[in-house]
Amino acid sequence: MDKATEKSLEKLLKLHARGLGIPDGSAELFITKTLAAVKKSLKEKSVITAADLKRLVAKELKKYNRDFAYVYEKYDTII
Amino acid sequence: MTTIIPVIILILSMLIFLFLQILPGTFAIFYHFALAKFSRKKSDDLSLSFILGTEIFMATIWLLVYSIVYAIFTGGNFNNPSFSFFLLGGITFALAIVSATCYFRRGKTTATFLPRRIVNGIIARIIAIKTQKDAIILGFFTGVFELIFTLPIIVAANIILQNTGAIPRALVIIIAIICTIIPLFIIRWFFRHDYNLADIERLRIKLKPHYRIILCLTFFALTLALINLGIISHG
Repeated sequence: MDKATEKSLEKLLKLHARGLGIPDGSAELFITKTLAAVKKSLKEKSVITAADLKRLVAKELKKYNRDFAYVYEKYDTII
Repeated sequence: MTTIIPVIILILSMLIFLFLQILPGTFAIFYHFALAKFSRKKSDDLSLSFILGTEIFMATIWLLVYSIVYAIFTGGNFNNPSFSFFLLGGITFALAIVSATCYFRRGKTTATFLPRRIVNGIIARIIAIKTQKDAIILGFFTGVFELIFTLPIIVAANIILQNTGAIPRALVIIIAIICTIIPLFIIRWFFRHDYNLADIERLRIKLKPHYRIILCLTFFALTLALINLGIISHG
């Protein structure tokens, strides 16, 4: 995962967390741990699609906050 | 023209405005991102601006269609509305089938028929919103995406109102606008009472089959009423 993708992903996750009312400190912790876990699983893969990345991130986020994972996974299929 | 069938058509039309889902979906995401970027009070104000934009769009469309229908029917070239009713009946029948099959996409989502590129554009627009003017414009243009479903209804209603003096036009327009914005106020109520986007979306997914059935049956009933009215006008 390149720096630009990671940065934009982090920004989006922070927006979702704030929208859900998750305190900033907790959100920061969830996002850091999630991205670290995702980067670790991506080391084994040479190619990954955007959908795969989304599923990986949502799977990791689910461990910390189900609503956060749900909104991240589904927000672009609401309309 | 008897007044009962036109009134039934108008009531069915209002039901359709209540159950269409593009505006409520857009509004839910809008409120979610507004809460992410701004304070509760500002998010609330922006949500009211969005609703205002929707109201302006509906009023504009109704007045535009009224002008066109008035010009056609009082121009002297087209006095018999029966053909229009048969045509609109055909269109609403097609919409009944479309709403049952492709209004919502498959799966556990409330994603609609809109292409993903347009949806991503709307979401990018929502994330970039800063002022009330942006919110009004977004509310206004979101109504455009449902025109394929709402325009035939608005045309039918205006033709009926043109040919039936008994029903006050302004009242019908006001009720139509209210029916369009009721789902938005319901979603706003949920957000103001500490529900979040996840809760609202889970509820919408639960209600999705019901929306589908209601839309399909309402369009179907509208078809029958319009064809009936066409036959009566022709006779």
